[in-house]
Order: sequence, then C-alpha cells, then structure tokens
Amino acid sequence: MKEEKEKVRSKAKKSASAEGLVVLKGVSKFYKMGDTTVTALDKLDLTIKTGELLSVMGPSGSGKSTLLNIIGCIDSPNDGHVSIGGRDVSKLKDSELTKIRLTEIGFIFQQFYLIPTLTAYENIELPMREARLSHEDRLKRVRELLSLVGLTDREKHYPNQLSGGEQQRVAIARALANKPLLILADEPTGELDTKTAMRIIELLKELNRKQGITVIIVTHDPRVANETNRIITLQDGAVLGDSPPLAQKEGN
Amino acid sequence: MYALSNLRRRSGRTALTVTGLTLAISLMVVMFSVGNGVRDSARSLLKQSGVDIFVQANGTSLGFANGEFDQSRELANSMIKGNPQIETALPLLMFPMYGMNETMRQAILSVKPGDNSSLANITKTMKIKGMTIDGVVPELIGKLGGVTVLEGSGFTHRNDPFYSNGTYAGGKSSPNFTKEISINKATAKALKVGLNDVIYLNVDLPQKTQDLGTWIANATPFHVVSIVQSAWEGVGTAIAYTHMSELQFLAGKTNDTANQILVSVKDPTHDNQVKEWIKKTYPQLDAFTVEDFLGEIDQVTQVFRGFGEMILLVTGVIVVMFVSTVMMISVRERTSEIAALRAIGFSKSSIFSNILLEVFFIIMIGFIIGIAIGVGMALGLDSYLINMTMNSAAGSGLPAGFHFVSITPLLLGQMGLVAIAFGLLCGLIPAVWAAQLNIAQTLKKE
Amino acid sequence: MMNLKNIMRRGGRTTMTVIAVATSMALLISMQAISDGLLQNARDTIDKSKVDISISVTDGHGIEDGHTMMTTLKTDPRVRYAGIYMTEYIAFKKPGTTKQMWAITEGIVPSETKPLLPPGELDRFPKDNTLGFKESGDPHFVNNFTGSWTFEVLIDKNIGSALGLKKGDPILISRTATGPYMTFNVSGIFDSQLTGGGLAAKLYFMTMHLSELQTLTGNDIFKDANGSRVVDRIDEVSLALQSDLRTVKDKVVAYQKELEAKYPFYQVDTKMDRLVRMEQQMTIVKGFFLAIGGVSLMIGLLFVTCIMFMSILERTNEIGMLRAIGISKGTIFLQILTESMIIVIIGAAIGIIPGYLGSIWGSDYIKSTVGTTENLVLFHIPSVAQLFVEVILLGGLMSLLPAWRAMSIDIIKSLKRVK
Repeated sequence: MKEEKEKVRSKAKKSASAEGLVVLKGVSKFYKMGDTTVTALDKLDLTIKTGELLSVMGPSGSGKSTLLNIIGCIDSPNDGHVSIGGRDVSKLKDSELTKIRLTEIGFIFQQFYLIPTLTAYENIELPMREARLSHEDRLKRVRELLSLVGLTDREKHYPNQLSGGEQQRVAIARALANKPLLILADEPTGELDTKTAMRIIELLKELNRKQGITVIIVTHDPRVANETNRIITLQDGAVLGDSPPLAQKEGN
Repeated sequence: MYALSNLRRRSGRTALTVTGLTLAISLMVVMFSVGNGVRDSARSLLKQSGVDIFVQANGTSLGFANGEFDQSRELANSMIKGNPQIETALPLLMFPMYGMNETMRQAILSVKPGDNSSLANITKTMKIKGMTIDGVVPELIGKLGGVTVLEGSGFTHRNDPFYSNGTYAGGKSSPNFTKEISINKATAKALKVGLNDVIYLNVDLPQKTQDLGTWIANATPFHVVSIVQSAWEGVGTAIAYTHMSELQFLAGKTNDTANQILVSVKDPTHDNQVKEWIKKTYPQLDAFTVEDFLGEIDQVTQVFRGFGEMILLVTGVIVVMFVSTVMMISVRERTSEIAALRAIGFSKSSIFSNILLEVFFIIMIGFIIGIAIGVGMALGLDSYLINMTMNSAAGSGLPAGFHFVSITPLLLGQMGLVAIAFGLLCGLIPAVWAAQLNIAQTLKKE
Repeated sequence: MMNLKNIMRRGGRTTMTVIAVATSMALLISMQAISDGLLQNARDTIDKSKVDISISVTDGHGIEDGHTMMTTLKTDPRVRYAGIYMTEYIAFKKPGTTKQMWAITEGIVPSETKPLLPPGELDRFPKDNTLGFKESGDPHFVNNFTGSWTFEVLIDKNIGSALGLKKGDPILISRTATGPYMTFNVSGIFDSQLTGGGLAAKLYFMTMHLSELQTLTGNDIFKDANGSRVVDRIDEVSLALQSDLRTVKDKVVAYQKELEAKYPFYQVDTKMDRLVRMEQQMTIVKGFFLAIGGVSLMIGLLFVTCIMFMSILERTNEIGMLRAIGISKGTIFLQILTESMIIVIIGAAIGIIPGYLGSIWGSDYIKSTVGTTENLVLFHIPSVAQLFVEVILLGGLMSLLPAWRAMSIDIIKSLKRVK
C-alpha cells in the first residue's frame, strides 16, 4: 500500500505543475436556454494540490456539477484555462480528453451507472479493456480492486444482486481501474442510507490517505463534507468559501 | 462483451426483432432461390445433352420450336463440311403420335364385328397412349450425350436406310422401312410393353370405338429395340425414337422436314463464332447457343424476378424501419449509461462500434435462423411445384434433374451482403447518435 | 383521448410504426389485387365463352375426319353450333422480301366460329362479312380437298405493323422456312391483344380457312405407296348448345357423358370442368401471392408488438401508479390494447391507397413484360374491406400480449423501479 501511494505521488509529482494537480484560472461556463444565457461558472479560480481530499458544496444551480464536469474533462469552459497534471486541457480535442478520462481520472456517480448486464468483475474490468490491458493484467488488477473495496466474494454478482452500498463500491473500484491521479465523485452517497454513506466516505478517505489519490467530492450533505480536509463552497458559479471543515478549524 | 450483454438485457424485444428479421430473410431466400433453380437446372441438363447449338427455322424462338424446314440432312451435312469446328449436326423431327400394344390389338381383333360394347369394355382397361416421337438418325444421336441405353442393343440400322437416295420409295412396305423404335421407361410403363414387344403407331386417335378396327389397319407396327433414358425428358413423359425418315413419312413430311438441328462443336469456346457462321450461311435458319437458351429462360423468369425484387425491397424497408427504430429506442433508454461510459474514458469510436456490433449480432442471429428456415421453405416449395407440374397434364412432368429452386454459395453470399446492408442501415444512425451524445448534458438531465 | 396522447408522446416511433404497417398493408393489398385480377381474367374468359362443350385430345393433334364430325354433331337438335379448329405454326413473309416470320395460325370454318366468339372477342375481328372473310364456309374441303381455294387470311395488327400490310395486300405463306410459298390476301386485321413487346414479342397470329391450313400443312390427306386416304385432321371441336339446354347443368353434363361414350378417346370438357381446373390452378397462384404479402404484414405487426412492449417498459412507473390509485387491471389492459389497435388501424387505412397504386404498378409491369394489353388487376372494394378487417383482427391478436403484460405489472416493484 505504501508502495502504491509512492507510485501515485511520483506520477503526480512528475506531471503536476508547481502550482497544483488541478488548476483553474478565470474559468467561465455558460449555457444558452432559448433567449436566456445561464452562467454556470463565473471567472472561477481554483487550485487543487496532489493528494487533497476536498468537497464542493453549494445550493442547486451553484455550478458544482459543472465544475466537476470541467475538471473531469467531460465539458470545456467557454473562457479561462484548466490544467490537469500540468497540462492545459481547455483546448484539447475530444479524443485527447477521452484518453485523460480513461487513464488519469476516475468518476463515481450518484446513480452508480453500473452496466446491469455485466457482473461486478466485468464492470470493473471495462475501463481496463478500453485501455487495452492484457487479460492477465486485467485479472490481477480486478482482483486487487475487489479486495480493496471488500467485495472479493461478490465478483460474479450482477448489480441487481448487490445492495446500494455494494454497487457504489464496485463503481469506486471501476473508477480506480487504470490507476487515476484524481477521483471525482458526484454525490456518491445520494442514493444511500446514512450508515452505508459513511462507509463509502471512509473508503474514499482511505484511498486518499493510503494511496495518495486526490479526491474531489460534490455533495449536499454537510456530514460528508466534514469528513474531507477542505470544503469549497460555490454560489452563482463563483467560489464563496474555501476552508477546512469547521471541526478541523476549531480543532486547529 | 458489452454489445452481446445488451441483447440479453431485453431478451423479449431481441426475440421479437430477430423474429421479424428471420421472416424477412427467409422470404428473401425463397424469392432469390426460386428462378435460380430453373436456370441452373436448365444449364446442367443442357450440358449433359452435349448440344452446343440449337438450329431452328429463322424467326422462331426456342420456346416455339415448331417451325419446320425441309432438306434437313442436306443442311446438316453441309454444315459439317463447311465449318471444321462443327463435330456433329443432328437433324431432329419431333412429332406426336399414338400407340397401342399387342395385347390390346389382339383383344380388339377378337371382338365380333358390330359388338361395340365389348370394344368399349376393352377401352376401359386398355389405353391408346400419346407420346412424342423424336425422328433421328441413330448413329448421330449416339454422338451427343444425354441418352443412356438401359436395355437392348438399340437400332440395328444406324444410318436411316429408308431415306436412301433422298427418297421415301416404297412407303411402309419398303424393306428399308425398319419399323424399329426405342422407347423410354414412361412409354414402356404406360403401354405395358418391354424389349422386343410391338407397338402399333398412328398419327391420330380413333374417333369412335367402332373405328378401332380401321385404326389398327392403318397403324404401323414398330418393334421395341431398346429402352432408353435421356436426361432432359420429363418425369413420366412418354418419349420414343424412330428413324427420322420413317417418322417423316408417317407424318406426311416427306421433304426431309425437321424442327431442329442439334450441333456440337469441337471447342466449346467457339460456339458463338459457329452460331454466327450458321446464321450467315443459312438465312432460312437461326441458331441459339446454350447461353441464348438460358437468356430466353431468364426472359420468362424475368416477370417473377422483377416482382420478387420489388417485394423484397418493400420487405427490406419494413425490416430496416423495424430494427432501426427498436435500436434507436434501445439506445435512448441507455443515454445515461452511455454518457457514464464516455465519462469513464470510452471513446466515441468505442461507443459507435459497440452499438453497431449489437445491431450486427441481431442481424446475424436473424440471418442464420432465417437462412435455415428459408432454405427449408424453398425446398418445400420446389417439391410442391414439381409435384404440381407432374399432375397438371396427364403423365407429363419436368426432367428428373430439374428444380425450380437452387441454393448455391452465390445465394448465401447475396444474403450475406443483404445482412451487411441491413446492419449498416439499421445501426448507423443509432450508433452515430450514441457516439455523439453530449456527456455533460446527458448526465445533468439525470 | 388519453390513448391518442400516449401514442403521440413518442411521435417519431409511432410514425415509423404506422409507416411500417401501412407499407406491409400496401404490399398485401397489391398482391391480392393482382392475384384477384389474374383469377378474374381467367374466369371471365371461360365464363363469357359461348362454348359449352369442347372436344379435344390431350396431346394436341389427333382428331380425324373433322368436317364429318362437325356435320354429324350439327344434326343433333341439342347442338346449335359446332366449330372445328386446328392450330399450326406457319411461316410468312412480305412479297419481295427474304425475312420470314412465324405465326400461330388457326384454321376455322368462319360461319361456325363467329357465333361461338363472345362479344368482347368478336369486337377484335373485322366486322365486315364473316370475321372479315368473304367466304363464310370452307369450300376447299369439298370433294376431298379438291375444292377451290379462297386464299383469304386474317392477320393480327402486329403482323400488319411489322410488315406494313393492310387489308387487300398479298402475303406469302408456307409450311416451312424454305417454302414453297403460296400467295394469300389479307382479308382483314384483328387485335390479338398483344402489344408486340415483352415476352410476346415474337408471337404473331393468323386465321384462315381450315381446309386450306390442313392442305398447307399436310393434315388433309395421307399418301402411301398403297394409295391415299383423307385424314381431315383437326385439334378441337367446340359446341354451343341450344339456349334452353345450356343453362341447365344436369342436361349439359348428361350430354357430356353421351359424347364421352361416343368418343371415348377424346377429352370432353364442359365449361364447368374448364372453370374448376382453372380455379384450382389460380387458387395456388393466389395463395402464393398472399403468403408473400402475409409475411410482410407479420413483420409490420411484430414491429407494433415490439414497440408496445418498449412503451410499456418506459411507462412501468406510470402504470404502477395508476394501479396504485385504483385503476383496474381490465382498464389498463384495454388502454394498451386500444393504443396498439389505433396504430394498426391507422397504418392499415393509410396503406390502402398505396396498395391500390402498387397493384396498378404491378399490373403494368406484368403487362409490359409479358406484352399483353389486358387489364390484370382487380381492386375489389369488398375484398379490400375484408382484408382490412382481417388485418385489424390479426393486429388485435398480436396486441394481446403487450396488453396482458401491462395489466400484470406488479405495483410495488414498478414504483420502486429505477431505470
């Protein structure tokens, strides 16, 4: 595990700029809805360092998901620059962005989005196949990840045979498939009960702590946010607050 | 893996879609294969006959070989002399006649004059049978293929002696009038005769039972010198062979009249050349190669083929609408899943190829089952049509090797192309649509 | 109202489904119209025929003493007309040219043939004299085929246009390609109802006096070394019976049996026999056509079933909710069934006009390929209506399964359901 953490850090070190793993400068994103223009992000600046565990909060329409999409190379800003691992991704082609998503970023969704006709093993394996890993490498890696998320005995189960928490753990394992630098989780506990939700957050914390993976969580839930080391609060597309959680502040 | 698993996800709809495809593919197999059989059978039978060129009166077509021309032997001999490519030229006269066997003849002759009811009783159980007589020069027909002698030694005189010096001197009483006949199995069966038996032939039927005596008096007795079989004879069709001059005489065509001259050439690659030479040298005649024959058959089957193509086009359109709509709905149901795959790093081309693969899987399953059912249906239809033609006219039918339907590798290849075309037509739009999904907007909607 | 709204909710897929049903319906209607047309054509030909009984031989030639037979039969008070015929293939050409062509030539006795032609067919022949012939009898037959020749011949319009011949022109006729040719005169031109194109491109027709055709083709007298005898060979005798007799089926059949006993070697057919035989054959053709149309229709209806299943799946929550608030299973069942039936009915209705147009196209295609001018399509409104009802019923049958599926949705599971 320590070895794993070191590998990730050295990868991140090599590719990260002096400023940070994820750097957003003057990023704006707007959408046209009929005659109206809706500003999702408004000249936003943000730096995220390697190994951070942070959450993004804000009311509905504050731009949380948009921010995640831009960091995740799913969407491109209208203005400003975004760099991931020292590389300006603002103007990259779709195929290059896709490659980044495959190898450097892992996504976790509120609705899990597992393929219902594939087993847990096959769902985790999916990104590795896309990355053209050999059968032996895939086998090894999937087993590793199943063990990591505590689902070794659920390898052959289909999503409809797993509980919500188990499905999300499979999704986390899938997100880790190609050893990403960065995990983006959009309301990962939204569909789960409190106990299960906390277990998931614990898992994400553990990944961050032990493997040095940078984790960004978008959440409505203050209990989830408080488990992270930094809370960024958005409002109307801009950063309203950027500080450690209250408990930590008070502790400090 | 993803593509195949998606088919299992909605197995009911996959089954319905495959069923629709199967129906369409099997209909296509039937339509494509019917008509091909006619051509392929004709080609194979013609090949067996050994005839390369059919010569007929100018202005006739192969469908109507009844046009006659005189001095046929002179024409045939001059063809052989005039063109070194020509190996054999066999003049042929086909003419229908009626035959009675010895048993029936004896029974009729034993009836007292005026006892018409006894005669009527005889005709209830014994029949005068119609048959087609091919008047040939025996030594020449042996040079062409396709006629197999099953029993007997064949004609004793092989060069048509009644026609000596180009006359028909002496009529039926001439010592050169051999009265030899070779019959096929259908004739033997219909007349209940065998080798060395006698058949009494007449051009016409008796009008009434009381005319039977006169009929017999006018009939010419022929004795059976062999039982033969030709590849092109219809199953159950009564055919017999006599010396050409003897048939010409009985038919009243004593100018050495024939319907056809069957020509074989030494080098089959020269048949077109020889054909043109014949047409140019003998303006009263026309010549047709095997390909011309097949072309005429194609013209006849064209009516059905054109129809078939239109039907298949319409059916194809329905199937494409069906499958592409189902695929499109199927893809739209999975937009969030597809967006998630794109989010985790699946490229546009991966999504595109997975969706297209799904369509191709459905097409392939429909194709395989459709071909199997279609072939079964086509063979069933073939056997039905053959039986129908067997029963349509008394005793006549198609040659034994003849089929309406032909299943060939070419046909399967054609179906394969159809399957690929279907796959592309049905799958392209959903695949492109899925690949072009805006990831952010799709996930946002969720 | 709700049904329609539900259908229009997914307008694109509904449109596709309706179009598919319409297309398959159109194909089915075309197939039916064409096969009905062919059947009706064949039926009309026999129905309108004035020939009540025909006497022939199955293998073509073979009836001797044709003229005598005609005379004998006419002495029977039950017989009104007795036409005798022979068909031969004859070479002809225009004087001064070398290119010969061939015509299917019918030898007739004009006075006995004219009354046997049904009105439609009679109109195709020249109206002057007896079908255009000045001589209505068959004079050459007299005295064992030593009577005078008329040298009259009728040609079809395709011969007329191919050779540029008109009434009164000479035409050379021979039994063989090589001659010798005899000069006949064109007494009239008739309509063979062939266009001169398509498969019928090489089909030409002529009509002449029977005895002259018999002599031309060697069917008059048989010469042997021992002498000669008159054969007077023909192919067929057609009888028209007296008007009080021909409508009574039993009397016609009784006369048929008499003739069969008198002429046991010939085939004696009544109009009914010909009709039955023809209908048997045409029914098979019709079955084939309809089977093809039926397969297409099945595909179209499978499409509807599939789309309905998909629609139900999408609306599982909605259906579960309806059940939860008290809507009965039966109502759900009828709701889905109605939606499906609306699609089938609209599709089938839309398919009628394209079906009509398709049948016209099909008929034109056959006409041009075969080379006939006869109308081959029968777009019979009652038949179309019947087909429409049958399609609706079949569509209804295939809609039962999705409707049953919708009715059987488990309320709790459907409300919990996540897509």
